[in-house]
Amino acid sequence: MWADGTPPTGGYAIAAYLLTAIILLTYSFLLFRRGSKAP
Amino acid sequence: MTLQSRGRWITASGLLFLAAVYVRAIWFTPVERLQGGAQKIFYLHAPAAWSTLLAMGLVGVASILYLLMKDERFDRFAAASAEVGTAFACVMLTTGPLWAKPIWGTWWTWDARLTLTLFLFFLFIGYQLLRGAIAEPGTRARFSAVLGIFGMVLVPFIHLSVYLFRTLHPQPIVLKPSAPSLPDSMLLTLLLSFLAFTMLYVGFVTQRYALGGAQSHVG
Repeated sequence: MWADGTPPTGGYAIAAYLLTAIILLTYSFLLFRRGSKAP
Repeated sequence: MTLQSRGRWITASGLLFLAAVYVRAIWFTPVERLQGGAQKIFYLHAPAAWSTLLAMGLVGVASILYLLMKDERFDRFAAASAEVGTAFACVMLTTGPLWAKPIWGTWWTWDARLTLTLFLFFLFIGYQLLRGAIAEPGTRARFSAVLGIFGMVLVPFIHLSVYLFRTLHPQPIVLKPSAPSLPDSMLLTLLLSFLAFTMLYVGFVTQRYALGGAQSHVG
């Protein structure tokens, strides 16, 4: 527990926020690249 | 402005908006007392689930319209929505276990909501494998429309599964008959995140739809 009584679970949140950003940015990049290569 | 560049602009705006939601969720939204920081996963998990279910719902609607009107644009939209839905399903299935582990004590449990959601993910994958396996456009569109309609039928079951079955998963906080059970500051962050994810859905689908159009003209 932190001093204010909340459990120390922030690491899971950081992992979730990072992975979400990675998935969405990767998909954005792939769509952008496919669009640029399209005829 | 072409459809492709319109989709890119919407996607870029959605990503910027999501970055603002990150800032608000992490630094300007209160920490929930019982769950601690892990509760903030909620602001990504629920909107990702919304986008996933929206994507499959619209795959089903477009599939029905295709079967009724035989208009190739509906099939192209369904294909675009299914691919985008797979990306959002990945976010949902990544953030869910990361939230479950500290709160439930387990990464995964085979209850109705989680199992049905995993099944939906497999349907998304199966839908795309089916499309890839059939070369003739008419047959491909017809077969995948049937699968898309089955996927759409799953959507209300997933939303209502927390009422129909005994489950660890919490019941809806916002999309329910009574008022949202969330403090205003948390509710606003959640609604902004819903908006960001919806913008991203629209941007992704617009780009993917335009791409499908370009490919079909070549094919």
